[in-house]
Amino acid sequence: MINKRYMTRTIILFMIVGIMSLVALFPFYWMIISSFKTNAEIFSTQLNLIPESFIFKNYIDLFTTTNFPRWILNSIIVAVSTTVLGLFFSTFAGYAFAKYNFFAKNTLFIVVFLMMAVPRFVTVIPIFMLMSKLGLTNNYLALILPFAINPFAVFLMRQYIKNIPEDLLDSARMDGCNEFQIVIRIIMPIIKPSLGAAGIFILMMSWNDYLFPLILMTKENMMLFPVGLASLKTLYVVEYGMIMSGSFLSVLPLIIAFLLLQKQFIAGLTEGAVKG
Amino acid sequence: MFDKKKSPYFFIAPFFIMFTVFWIWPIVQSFIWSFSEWDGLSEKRFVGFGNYIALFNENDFLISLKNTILAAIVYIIILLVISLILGFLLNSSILKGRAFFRTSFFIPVTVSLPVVALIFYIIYAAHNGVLNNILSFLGMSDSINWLGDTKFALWSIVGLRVWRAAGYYTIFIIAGLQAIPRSTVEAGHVDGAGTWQVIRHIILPQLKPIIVYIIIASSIWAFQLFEEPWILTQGGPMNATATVAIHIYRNAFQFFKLGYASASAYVLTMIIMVFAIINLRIAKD
Repeated sequence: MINKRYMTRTIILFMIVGIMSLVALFPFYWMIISSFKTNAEIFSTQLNLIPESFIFKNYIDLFTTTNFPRWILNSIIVAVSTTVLGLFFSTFAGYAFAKYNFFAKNTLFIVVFLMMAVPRFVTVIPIFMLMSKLGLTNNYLALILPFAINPFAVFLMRQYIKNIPEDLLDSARMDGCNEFQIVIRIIMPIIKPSLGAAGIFILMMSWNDYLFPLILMTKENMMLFPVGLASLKTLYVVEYGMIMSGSFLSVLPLIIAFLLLQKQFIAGLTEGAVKG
Repeated sequence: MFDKKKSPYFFIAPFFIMFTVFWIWPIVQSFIWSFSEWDGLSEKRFVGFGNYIALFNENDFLISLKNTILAAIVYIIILLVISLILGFLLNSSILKGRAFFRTSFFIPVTVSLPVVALIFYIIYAAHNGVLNNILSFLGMSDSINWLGDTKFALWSIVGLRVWRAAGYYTIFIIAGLQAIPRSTVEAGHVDGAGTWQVIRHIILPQLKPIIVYIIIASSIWAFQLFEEPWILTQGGPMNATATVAIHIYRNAFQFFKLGYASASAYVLTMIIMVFAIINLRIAKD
């Protein structure tokens, strides 16, 4: 009897969660199959959950009639540079906060903490004016510099580096390492997995942002992919299948990376509190 | 150069200089600008609280404010309920395929908001969009104009936000549930408490810090609702999805009223802060 009740409960639970995960995954499924459909078939009067035809025209059009390859390239350049620079800044700052005592350390730390709560809509206007003044609009630096500064990443690195035993650093000092060499030779190799997590966090913030690229990258060939893709929606004839093909291609690398590096993804995103 | 005394300053300087230029100083600047009238080119004109007074007399702003607060609160409540339910279900030891399910619920958060908006643009389509097709397949006769009807537009946007974020916040709930010692739950059962009573009196109180964190963290972004209404509806129909963030964007970058937009941004900041303080106060009691 108990066994039977246990079985029913297992099955019911499995079905509830199963249905919920179908809801979670359905939009992806719909994006993917729509990218292989014509407009007419996407908006068919029938409910066609399984596509009838399979065309590659949307992908060909995406690469021949729009600037999509360039937009993705722009996004990659911005996201990768931001991440590398951001990791550099946050590792050194995190190390200083974790392992040294220096003048006004706690005050600085609290200032960084408080500033994080201010919405980015407050900073966007002055940053736009600053970048215009410096002539950096439509320049990768306009997006790389502000996003390489990531207080969350500093917090993450500080937490990770704090756990490294002081003895290890002292013995490196005895061996003649200066502080800079300690960071490069001792700290960085030890916190490699954490660098991955923090890196993913910075990368996602940069890759997924819309507001700053919208304002700072206005030239068609300097757009990042989210702005570029959304601009296809305002064309005279909107090719929805083509927009879905671009969406799919932009999502694909992140999903593959996520499936491969699940642990670090979840650590990076949950310890850093992502936009959501 | 890199001795123990000077190093911390060298190490912290790059971050801190950049942080000052791109974070602290802009925050100060826009605060100052919020008290002046400025188009970005001509001289600034000091107007005191004029911008703030004008904001609360502008109908479009008040509608945006109402939409923003309403959407944020409904979003946070739905998000919290779904994350709690998902967290409990996914943490259940009798569930088969837990790892797979956790992954599938987490995937949406890896997709950028603009792309999510574009996907839902075709799902929500009024004429033969797949959502309407599914509903009519299930026997609903009228198709709904999800994004074009003033009654539905804001909630459709809240819906896609919840879809994207629920799996993400579920991770926090699961972590919280796993941190609760088994013995306290078992003790509850021994004392004769039912499942619901155990959840209410033993598990939920222990999850409180995590719930407060989720409310505050999600609210910071919820109050800055911008990408989806901007891409999907441009704030329409009839201001139904107009938000404070859109108000800031329009005034700053389309009307070039930089002082006015800065004031709007500071009103948004105040709302976020007040909301966070209220939550922390309630949590303390």
